[in-house]
Amino acid sequence: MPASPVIVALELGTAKVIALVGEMREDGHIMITGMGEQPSRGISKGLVVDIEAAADATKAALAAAEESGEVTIRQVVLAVSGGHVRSDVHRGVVPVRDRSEITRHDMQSVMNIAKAVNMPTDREVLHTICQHYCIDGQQRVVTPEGMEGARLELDMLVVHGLRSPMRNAIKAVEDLMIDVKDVIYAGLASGLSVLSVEQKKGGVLVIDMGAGTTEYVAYAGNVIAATGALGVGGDHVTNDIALAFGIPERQAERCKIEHGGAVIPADVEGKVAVAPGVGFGGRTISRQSLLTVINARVDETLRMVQHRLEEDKVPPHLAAGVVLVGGCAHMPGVTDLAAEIFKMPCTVGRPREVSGLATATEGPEYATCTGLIQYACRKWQSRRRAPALTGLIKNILKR
Amino acid sequence: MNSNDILIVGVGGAGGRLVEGLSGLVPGALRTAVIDTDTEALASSGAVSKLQIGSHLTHGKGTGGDAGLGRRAATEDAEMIRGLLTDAAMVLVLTGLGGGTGSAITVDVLKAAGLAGIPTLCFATLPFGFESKGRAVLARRAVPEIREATDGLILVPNDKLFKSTGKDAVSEAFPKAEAALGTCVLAIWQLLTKPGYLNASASDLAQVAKPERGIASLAWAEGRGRCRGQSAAKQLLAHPMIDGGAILADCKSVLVSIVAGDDLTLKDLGDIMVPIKAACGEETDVTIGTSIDPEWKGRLLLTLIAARPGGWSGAAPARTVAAPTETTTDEFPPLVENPNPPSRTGVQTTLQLEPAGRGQFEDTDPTLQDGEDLDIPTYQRRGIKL
Repeated sequence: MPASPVIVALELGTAKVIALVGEMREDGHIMITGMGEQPSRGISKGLVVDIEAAADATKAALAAAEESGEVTIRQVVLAVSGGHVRSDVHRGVVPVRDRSEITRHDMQSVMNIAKAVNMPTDREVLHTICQHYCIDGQQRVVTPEGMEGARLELDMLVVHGLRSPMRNAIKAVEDLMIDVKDVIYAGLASGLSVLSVEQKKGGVLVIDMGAGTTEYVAYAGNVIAATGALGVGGDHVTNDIALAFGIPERQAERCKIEHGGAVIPADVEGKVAVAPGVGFGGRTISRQSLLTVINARVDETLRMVQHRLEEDKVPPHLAAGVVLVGGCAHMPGVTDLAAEIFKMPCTVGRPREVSGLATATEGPEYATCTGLIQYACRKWQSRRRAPALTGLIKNILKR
Repeated sequence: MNSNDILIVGVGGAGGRLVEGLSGLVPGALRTAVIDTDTEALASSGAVSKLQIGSHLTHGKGTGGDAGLGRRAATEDAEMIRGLLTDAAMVLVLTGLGGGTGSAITVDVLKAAGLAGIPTLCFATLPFGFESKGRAVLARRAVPEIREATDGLILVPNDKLFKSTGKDAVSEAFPKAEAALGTCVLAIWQLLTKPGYLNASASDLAQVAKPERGIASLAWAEGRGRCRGQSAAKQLLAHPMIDGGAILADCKSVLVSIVAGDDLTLKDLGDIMVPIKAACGEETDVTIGTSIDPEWKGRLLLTLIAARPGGWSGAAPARTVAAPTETTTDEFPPLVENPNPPSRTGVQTTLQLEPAGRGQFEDTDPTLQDGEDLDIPTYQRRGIKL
């Protein structure tokens, strides 16, 4: 028995446009009933650079999803990403009105103050997420209502990004006469799909390394501590290989997939044959050099994430470690490298509580889309159950 | 100093707007806070932390020019003000004097920082001459109190500030003046967080603006293109805030901050410092600080803080100017005279022998991070041999 309407999730990735059709069942798990996938065009580093080309690829992916899911798609929930997405913590402070017991009114007024953020004109707020309340400087209170105190503080995580790239992604979809019902930051969606409650409680870092961008989201103490993105991804690894050895991009991509690895073993030796292609006669390259090029890029990217987390004051040790998703999670040795850099255990994440089409439920590259469906289903449910909008996003993201 | 160590606090309506303008210049980079009694002003502010005080005295409204009310609000919520300042290594306070909030609460904020042992620097605007007498009186009363409470006070009379931004319509003049002042505060912030080869530390800054040295004023100028050093220095010395450079001769100490790209040359430094030194008196200590920021390539921003002995005209009796006891002559790094200029190759980690290719990203905007183009292969930027 479905417990939600059919939801279509769409991600305009740099490598692939993915459309998933799914619904939530009564026991809370997500059933994927259809999917469509198409190599992307007109998208670079997570940004739509050619709306028409991107719309064409999206059209094909949606058509495939319609066919496999036996549905007619009129509206979608869309993931947005790009190296421009950042998060900041904004703090609101108010004195408690009657100086003793905290009321709903106090919570509302501190939320209004913390939520009102003025963005530069070129940026737009994507999500505002309540982190925690503080009473009289005492850390971490989840529901302060009814508690005693004189001063109420609220930390609010504000996720924001550049307006025009996000608008372009929406436009590419709307040009197909498809309604964009909701826009969700891809990094948050990935976290939602692969993490368990225990992982969020213990603290965990999800790194979604896709083709064009690397998103991250860190949970500490069951709240999202920081999230953001870098405009660097697997395409950069390919580009580095192509430039280092003077081989075409297509060959570099194959080399990466077939022979690549994120760590350089001590006993590495031998050569790798690069197959000939159009206008390219083929050559061999040293395996050690290949791994060195890849290692430098992946190492740098992970360290940039680490640096961002330090800037955002995320505790350096998260009990549940690092979870990698996205296409690059397939790369051999990448979990070892991440474990070494972050000094925490590292695993590859897969969508949880999802069944249906095997490909869509198992690959780390589908984490964003399954997360989108989970987000939309839960939003739909909580809207039906509790009409109060405040704390809605908080509830969805905490679950 | 880390960017997170410096807390920029806007006090009252004017202070809040200044912080607002400032955070717009470098979104996300600054640690900012606003303290106000007015809920509406706070709700529309984009500062990182917002503190509402005296809410049941003013019921979430402004103080309406009542400094007594502002003072009571600050006393009542002193604990919250203290809480806001914790773990800052330096506090820059931005305020407008003449109203009920800025004039009254600024002192409490500075005192709270002082008690916590945090150095402070206060930028305060003074009301226009044509404004009501009451506002002038409030400001006049606040200045000596603030001087007692802060490590450095820089006064910015609105009359002069607006002269420097030209003859615009009021709707444009205010944002422009606020942006100009914001840029200066940002320059100071950059000087402390992203020091270049010639460093000016927080203590140099406090040395120049410290109340014993008199009243500090502020001037700024931007230069672009090939002769950016010369043109910026010329503009700076004509700046109305320092009476067209006339006050420099009497100044005990002057701090010149230069924010520039990595293409700043020693010739530029000479072009800037020679005319400034010429305008200063023989006794004047001139400290220079540079901040190198790749974003400023091809242009530079000069900010000058000059302290003139004596009080603000019309202010409460000027305190006796303490003679500077320390010798500060060696603070000023030899600049143009130095036959062996500091070598700049030290910062460049590897010599780029082959042209940096961008491959498939050739036609896209560079992915910039801390001045590095991440589209260029990592192994090339790190100088790794293959």
